[in-house]
Amino acid sequence: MTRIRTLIIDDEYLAREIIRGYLNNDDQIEIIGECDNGFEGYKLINELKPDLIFLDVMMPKLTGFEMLELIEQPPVIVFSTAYDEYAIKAFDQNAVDYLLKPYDETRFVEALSKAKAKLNASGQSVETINKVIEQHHDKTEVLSRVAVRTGAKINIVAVDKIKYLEAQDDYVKLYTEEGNHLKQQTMKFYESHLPQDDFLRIHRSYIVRLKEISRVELMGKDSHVVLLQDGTQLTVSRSGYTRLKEVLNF
Amino acid sequence: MKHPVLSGFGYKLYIGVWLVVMAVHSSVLYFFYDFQATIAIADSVVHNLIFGAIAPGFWFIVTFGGINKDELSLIGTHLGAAILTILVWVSLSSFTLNSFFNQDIAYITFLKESSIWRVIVGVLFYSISVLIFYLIKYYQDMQKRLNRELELQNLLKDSELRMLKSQINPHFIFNSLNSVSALTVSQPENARKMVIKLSDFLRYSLGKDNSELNTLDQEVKNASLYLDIEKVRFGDKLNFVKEVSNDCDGVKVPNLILQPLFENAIKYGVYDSIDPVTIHLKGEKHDDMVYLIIRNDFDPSSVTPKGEGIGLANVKKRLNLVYGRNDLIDIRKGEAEFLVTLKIPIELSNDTN
Repeated sequence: MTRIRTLIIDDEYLAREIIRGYLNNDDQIEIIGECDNGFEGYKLINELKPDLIFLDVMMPKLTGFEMLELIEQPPVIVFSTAYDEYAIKAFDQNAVDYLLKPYDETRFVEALSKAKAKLNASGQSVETINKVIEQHHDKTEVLSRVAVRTGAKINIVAVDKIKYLEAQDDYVKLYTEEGNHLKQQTMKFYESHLPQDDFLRIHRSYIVRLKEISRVELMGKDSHVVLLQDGTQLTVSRSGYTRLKEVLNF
Repeated sequence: MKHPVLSGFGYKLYIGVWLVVMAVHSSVLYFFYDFQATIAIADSVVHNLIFGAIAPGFWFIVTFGGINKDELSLIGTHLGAAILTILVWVSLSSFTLNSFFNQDIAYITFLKESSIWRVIVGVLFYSISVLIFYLIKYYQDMQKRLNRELELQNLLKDSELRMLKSQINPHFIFNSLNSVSALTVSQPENARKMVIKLSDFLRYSLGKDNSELNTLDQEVKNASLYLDIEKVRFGDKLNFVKEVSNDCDGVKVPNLILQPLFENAIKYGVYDSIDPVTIHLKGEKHDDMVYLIIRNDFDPSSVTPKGEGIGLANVKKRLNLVYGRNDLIDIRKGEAEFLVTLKIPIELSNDTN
């Protein structure tokens, strides 16, 4: 019988100790690693490919949710956190579970058996995790940072640094002073989660920071472009132009 | 509403005023009309005593006459009251004096002829009494309104202070309890210590009324408890250095004023850092101020979530409400260091310590 390769990610040593203690009572489990932040967690998941992770939400640098966004094939996940505002009803029906600290062994074993059932079925579907992330996003009203992956490296991009965003197939490209980053996300998401006063959707493919706009110019018969301070030209759609006029008052 | 004459010591003043009026009245009769002293005094006493006995009744017209009435009917009421008063007053006085002095033709003639003047004096007396009563009523009303306003302001301040009170973060409690849960198995003795620290901290933080002041050493003790508990959770990642000079210990500070500052230091310093973070507390007394400096390093590369500063803004508001000053907090964010300075005015009453 192959054992379930398990990873524990929590920034508190004692919190990991509890999980480790409970897991040691189950000989189906093999603990393959532990770490105390999202960066390390991301690295370990990619290196070790665990079957199951126990994950805290609030951790330094990269939260549990931000880490999950970056992982392509996430393992089965059991959340372990003191933050009940992240608890989502959907978890109860799914294999993944949500443990509210502090919890006892009975509750832990219950979560563990749900995870096992999911592992036996076919592994956790990516959709479930995406749903979780999406629901988490719905609860976060305004974004202040975005976690992106560049090769093997993870970057945290402050929203304040984003100049404009461009749609590229299933991705959105974030343009900043320091460079550009691709992120698997929709324009619609950014349209509603970036600070409304700072950003505007000017085209199907563009969201721009208003402060970056230096000029709006007529281009051809009745199409417009905006010129950014760094010289970039972005096409403005007709409805985008209406919105622009409204916001900039011209 | 209190009657200005019948309640308290108002009657003394009232009697005094009438004695003066009586003296003037009798003097006029004695010196200008050449009546005998007995007659002059009797005329004065009878007239003024009767009016003085009726006048306190005007208060009720003043206080209750205006309720649910328009101005016209109020004037009617006063007119009626004045006519009735003067009628009763003049006839009762005349009747009384007549029966005493019916031998003295000159005085009886004077009494008859002077009745028109008595009426005029009556109108004057009535007007003056009513005017004074209105003034007193107005003053009482204003006093009442002022009191109510003051009460309301205090109430507002109270609730505002309560709102600004540092609320204990439930996550802190649950995470701490989770640590206790872990310790019970591996280090039972430390679990007990942690539970006791947590209890002491909660007792202090939950039990205090926010408008109260507390001594600085109590505040520092509580903050140390808080940091001790966090240290159990974060281990070597959190260090606390405390340098508070002894002469600050007894100084009164608004209670739990340090708590939000340490919470901030933990939240933005420790929570978001992978490296060890040191929190410094320095307390110094200069002249009539205590300077409390809280300093923590933070990881400059971390992009902290928005929403910071509510705790700090609340501390500022609280200091403003308690001391009425806006310049008691100074916040500095350096490259990798966050520094908050509180200035606490030492109030004279606390200086005995």
